[in-house]
Amino acid sequence: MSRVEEILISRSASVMCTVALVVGCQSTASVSPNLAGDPNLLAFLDRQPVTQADVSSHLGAPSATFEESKVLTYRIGQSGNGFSVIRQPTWNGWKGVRYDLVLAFDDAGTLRQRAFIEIRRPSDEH
Amino acid sequence: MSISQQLRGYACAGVVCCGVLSACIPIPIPRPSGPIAESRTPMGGQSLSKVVPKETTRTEVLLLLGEPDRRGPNDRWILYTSVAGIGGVGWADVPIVKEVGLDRTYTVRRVTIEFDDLGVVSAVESEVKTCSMWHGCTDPEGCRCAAALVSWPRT
Repeated sequence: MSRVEEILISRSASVMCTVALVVGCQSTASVSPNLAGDPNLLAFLDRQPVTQADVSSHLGAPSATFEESKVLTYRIGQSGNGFSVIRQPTWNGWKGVRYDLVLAFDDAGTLRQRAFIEIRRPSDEH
Repeated sequence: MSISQQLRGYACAGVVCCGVLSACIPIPIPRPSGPIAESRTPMGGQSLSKVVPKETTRTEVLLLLGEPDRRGPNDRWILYTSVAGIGGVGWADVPIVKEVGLDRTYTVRRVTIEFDDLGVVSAVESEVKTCSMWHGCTDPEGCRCAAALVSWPRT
């Protein structure tokens, strides 16, 4: 075997090992949740009065309910300027969630208080 | 270089490649710091300071801190947890490329808020622990951090 052939073989082996390592990394990359993103998703909350029925028709089922369903929470994702309701199994935790929307209603089912709480900062996504 | 030396070299290279690719030989990789993907960002002390025993109601707590990670029967207690990785160097198995859990170190922050019969805060318990564990530590029951499990809320 000539010196040139030896060099070619050793270099080919190195390239193959590198490719295998890179392919291994790529095949297990995590997949981000699909966030469509609607900039006006929560705009209806500014049009008073807001009822529980309004909330259900705009956002669907909440992620959790409290105080005999007078407090509802929604997990909200953000993509650019758009927001979307995140629906995922609880074992997935807060993955893909940026904010938690908390809505408190009175006995008549009218929105009285709301909070938009940052759950994860963009810098925490890695 | 003789043929036997070449064969020996190829054999060694083959063993190393097989070891790496079959995940027998871990390789060092940088570990990210900050909350794990499933965890919330640790809540600030400013928000928590607004939760006052005998004053703050459950609704007010929810409006301050959001949906909890766990809740007890009849919401007599709620639990907020955050799990953040401590940066550094971890060991990855190729081609799985998943960090070996036992090698990782995390900071686990838990805040348990208890309520009385009227839904007013009766106690606030805050705890920070550093431990090593596998994945799934946002789930209190699943967390392998034995030290952190000691005083986790009753059911």
